[in-house]
Amino acid sequence: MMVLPDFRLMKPSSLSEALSALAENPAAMPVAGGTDLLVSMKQGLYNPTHLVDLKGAPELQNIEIREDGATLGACVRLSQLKNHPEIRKRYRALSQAADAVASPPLQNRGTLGGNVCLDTRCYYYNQSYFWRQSLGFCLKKDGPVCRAAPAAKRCFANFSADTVPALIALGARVRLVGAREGVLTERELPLEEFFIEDGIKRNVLLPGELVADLHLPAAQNLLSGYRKYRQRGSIDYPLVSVAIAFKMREGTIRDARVAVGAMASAPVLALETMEVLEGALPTAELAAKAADLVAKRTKPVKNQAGSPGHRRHMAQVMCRRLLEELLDAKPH
Amino acid sequence: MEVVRFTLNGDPVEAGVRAGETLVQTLRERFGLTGTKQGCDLGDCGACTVLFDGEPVLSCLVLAADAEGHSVVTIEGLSNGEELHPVQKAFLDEGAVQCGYCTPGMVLTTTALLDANPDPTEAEIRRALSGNLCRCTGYTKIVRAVRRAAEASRADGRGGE
Repeated sequence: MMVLPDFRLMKPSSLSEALSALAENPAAMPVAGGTDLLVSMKQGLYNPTHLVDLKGAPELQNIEIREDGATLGACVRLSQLKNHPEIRKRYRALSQAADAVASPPLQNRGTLGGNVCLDTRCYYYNQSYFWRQSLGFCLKKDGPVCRAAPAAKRCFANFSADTVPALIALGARVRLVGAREGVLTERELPLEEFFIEDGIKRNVLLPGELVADLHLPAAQNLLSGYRKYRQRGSIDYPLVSVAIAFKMREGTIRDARVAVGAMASAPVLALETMEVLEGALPTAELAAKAADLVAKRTKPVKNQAGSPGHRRHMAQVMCRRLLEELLDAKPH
Repeated sequence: MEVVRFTLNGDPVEAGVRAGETLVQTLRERFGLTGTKQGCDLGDCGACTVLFDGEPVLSCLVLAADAEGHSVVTIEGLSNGEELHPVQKAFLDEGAVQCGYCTPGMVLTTTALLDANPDPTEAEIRRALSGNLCRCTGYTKIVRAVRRAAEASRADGRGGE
C-alpha cells in the first residue's frame, strides 16, 4: 500500500480565498482532480504542508463557447471536454486529446488546468522512494546527476500532457492569476510561452500563481486533430504526440499550426512542417512531405520506453496519418 | 480528523477521516467494504473503481474528504439482497471471472457504461473498460458479459413497456 504523507487540506470556496491560502502558505500546493499529484505524493516526490483544493472555486468551472472563441476554466474535467458536443465539433483536437489522457475513470477526475500544469516525467523520476533510493536519486529530485543523460547539466524529464499540444495548435492563450502582498495579479500569454524547456522548472508560474482559464480563438473553417503514441492503447502517458490545426480557404491550407508533445521538456512547435503546409494545396504528396520535418526541432533522450530514434520516427508517422485524415475531412 | 458526510450505497453515512486518507482506505478500513480492491494504489490498474455520482473513478486517487456531499456506490451496493444486479448476473453466466480481483471494478464500470449507453458497440465497451486491467481472463469473456448484460437490460426494458 502506498501511503500519502501528512498535509493539511484546505477547501476554499472562491478563487480569491484559494489565492490567499496559497500566498499565506509558501509550501502549499494547489490540487484539483489529484490524479497526478496524489500519485507523486505517494511516491515521495512532493511533500506539501497544505493542499489547497480548487474544486470549490466556481470561477474555475466555466465552459463558455461563443462564435468568437471559447473560455475553458482550469477545473473543467477532462471527461466534460471530451463529451462536450460543441468542443467535439469546433475544437476536435482538444476533445480527442482529453479522451487520450490516461483512462476513462481518470478523465472523470482529472482537470484541464491540472493537465496543463502536469509535471514532466522520466523513467528515473516517476518511481517509488525505495526504487529511487536504490538506484541513487536524480537531478529532478534530491540527486546530483541526471540519470537519463549523466553527462548533461540539466534535467530532460519529458513533457507529457495530452491537452497542451492540442491547445497550442488551436492557438490557445492562458490566463494566470495570483496574489502578491494582498493584491490580485493577472496576466495572459500564448500557451506556448507558458512552458520552459527545463524538466525541473517546466513553466513560468510564480509561487502562489494559478492557471485560471484558457482562451481559444474562433473556430470557423477550422480543421484539427490529435494523435498519441503510447505503449498501450490506454492508461499510459505519451511517447510521442502530435496536434494539428489549420483552416481551408479557397482550396489552400491557411494558419497551419503543428505542435509536438512528449519529445522534449516542453511542447514544441514544428515550424518547418507549418511552413510546408502554409498556403499549400492539399495534394497526395503533401502529408508525407510535411510530416518528414515534424521532429526536426526535437532531440529526445532515453528516458521513456522506446528509443529516441523510434520516437522521432513515430512522430513522423503520427503526423502523416493525422494530416492525411484531416486533408480528407470537411471543416465543421 | 475531519468528519465527512456522504451517501454510501444509498444510505447517508459519516466518518472521521484523516486529510491524507484516500476513499479506498475509508471504504475498506472504516466501513469494512472490502469488495473495493486496493491494487497498484497509483491509478494504473482500476481495481479500486467505485461510482462517484454515478461515474467510475479510482478511489485510490480520491481523497476521502472529497466525498463530502457526494454519492458513492461500491460493488456491495449493486445487488438487491440475494438478487444479483443484471451486470453481476451476466459476468457470472459468462464466466467472466477468474481470480476475481478486477471484477468489482469491471462490474461497476460496466454498470455506468450501460446507464449512459444501453446499446454500446464492442469498440465502446473496450474503450469504457480500458482503465480496468485484468491479468487472467484476456478480456474476451468480460466483453461478452457486457454485451449479455446490455441485451438483458434492453429485454427487461421492453418487457416493462
